[in-house]
Amino acid sequence: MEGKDCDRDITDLLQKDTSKGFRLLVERYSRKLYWHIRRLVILHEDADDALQNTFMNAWKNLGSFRHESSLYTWLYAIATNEALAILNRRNKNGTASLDDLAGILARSVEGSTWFDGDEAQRKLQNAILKLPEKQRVVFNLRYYDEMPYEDMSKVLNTSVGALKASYHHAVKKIEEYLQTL
Amino acid sequence: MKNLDKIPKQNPFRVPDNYFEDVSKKIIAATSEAGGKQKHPGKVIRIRYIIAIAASVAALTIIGITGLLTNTRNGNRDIAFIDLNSEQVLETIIYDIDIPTLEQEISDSWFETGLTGLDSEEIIDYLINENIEPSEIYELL
Repeated sequence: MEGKDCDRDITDLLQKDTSKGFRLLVERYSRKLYWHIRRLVILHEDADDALQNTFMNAWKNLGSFRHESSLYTWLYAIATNEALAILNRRNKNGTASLDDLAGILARSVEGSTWFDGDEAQRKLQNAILKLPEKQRVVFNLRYYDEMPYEDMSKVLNTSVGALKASYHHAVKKIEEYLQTL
Repeated sequence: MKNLDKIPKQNPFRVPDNYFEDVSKKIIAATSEAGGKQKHPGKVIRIRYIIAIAASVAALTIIGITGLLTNTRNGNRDIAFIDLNSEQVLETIIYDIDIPTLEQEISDSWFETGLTGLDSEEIIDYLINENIEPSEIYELL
């Protein structure tokens, strides 16, 4: 179970003892957030940086977290921003376009020692990398994290209808890409 | 069966051994070093809000006094800006705008971004926002 009630123990503990509450938060969310970030940035080193930045930002901004809202969507929003910030920095520093960046990330998948998927999964990752940034985030959250659209709406600050549309566009493009192989 | 359904939905990436244990320790250590240095945006926003109001009041006061003094010194007491009501101010501003140019700008930008500028993705987004099932939309396209 995800969401507000599931994290009641963390939010209660954060109010009583911030350090202990935060430790529990890190234990519960480090894996989930890491995999979400990793699927976006592909490289382990980038995912590691973004994960640490996510928790540091969460720590610094605990005061602004509204306890009536969901800790889980708040953390996913920070993690998504950190992952996209790393991709944007990478794009500005070394390459000319998002297509180039997708190519670089695709080659990272090909040659990475930290990728142990089979050929079909490699093709799927390449297809996902060809999606526009927003569709890629939506597809990953829905397909791998199985996040409900209502929660995703809070994470990405986008309407449920637009998210459904993005997901369907993404699936259609992935299917087209997989058919051409 | 779709191609996507044939691919097992499993995580294809790996991490170094003990990564999650190590990174959790690193994060906890870093936050302990940072101590209780958390931001309290509520207070910052309130101070910024007060400063913004004070700055606005000061700016309006200066503009008002300057306008009054200028017009009084010039003997134009009858048309001092401070004496105008809101309708008169609006009329004064509107009279200064070149209406044909404004109309041209509006019509140009309308046709540039009008219905002809929509692509199929935007139309699909709109239909989904209107609660029409994506499968029905794709059947019609």
